[in-house]
Amino acid sequence: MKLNVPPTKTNQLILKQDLAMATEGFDLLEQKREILVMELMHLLDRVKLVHQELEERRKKAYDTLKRAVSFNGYYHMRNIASGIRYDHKVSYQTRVAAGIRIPTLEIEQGEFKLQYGFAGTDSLVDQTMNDFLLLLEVAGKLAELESSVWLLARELKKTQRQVNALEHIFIPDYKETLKYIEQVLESKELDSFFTMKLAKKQMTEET
Amino acid sequence: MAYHIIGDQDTVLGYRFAGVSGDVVEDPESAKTAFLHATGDRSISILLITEAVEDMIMDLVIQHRISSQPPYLTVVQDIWGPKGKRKSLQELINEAVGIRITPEEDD
Repeated sequence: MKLNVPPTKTNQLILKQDLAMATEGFDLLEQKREILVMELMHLLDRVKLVHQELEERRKKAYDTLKRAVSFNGYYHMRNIASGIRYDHKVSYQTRVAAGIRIPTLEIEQGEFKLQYGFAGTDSLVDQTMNDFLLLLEVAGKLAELESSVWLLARELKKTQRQVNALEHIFIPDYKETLKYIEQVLESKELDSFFTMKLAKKQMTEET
Repeated sequence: MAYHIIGDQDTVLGYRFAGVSGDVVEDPESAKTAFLHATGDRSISILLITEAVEDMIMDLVIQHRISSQPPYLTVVQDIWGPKGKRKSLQELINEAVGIRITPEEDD
């Protein structure tokens, strides 16, 4: 659709500048989009692996917990759990890609050790602790991936929209308007040329 | 404390066995308080929330994710089964990248 501007020389200049800017922006955004897609595809394989692992471990851990609770009772389990302390350490760094801060987490998982009396606890309790430690390890990995993927995907969608808006609306509109202005200016020029010729002819006839 | 979990009492109990500190929440109000408290705590690096809690405080969660500040969030399933259909990370990626690129067609 043509923009609603009067076809003048000044407007033509302004529009030309704008169009150059838009084209440059379009190229930049296109590059950004490519970078984001690359980052995401890069993460995709890891996401698949971690996700699968998480599902397996989660099912196992939740099942064990349910069984442990039904054998020992909720309050007993809670008493045992309140005595458990693990020294997990997580440090993070952030890396910037295409304007997004992507976290990298380094996780030091606490080692499995018995932290309660043997009397009054059964093997299911040990199993629960073991399973949940394994689950936590994967959950930590997923935290890193989830944050990065979420942010990257959001940014990619945004960039995609911007690229589309520029490519399909903004740039064609400007091109069309420029073409229209050019035509009008040309015909005006022709008009004035003709008028001048006419005036010149009349002037020579009068003398 | 590197990990923290917000969820219902059974899920929290499970993670307590792995030495994760936890807040038990039942309603949106307490979930909101616990979430704000946890995100303000610098000693927590990874925050686990259950799907039920995520549903309760969706806008807060989104806001926190956008800020890309630690603690980093992970949504875990509730112990009593999934709460509705959710987009997996893979679906999120595929949706964002567009269906024309899939690993099978890539090469």
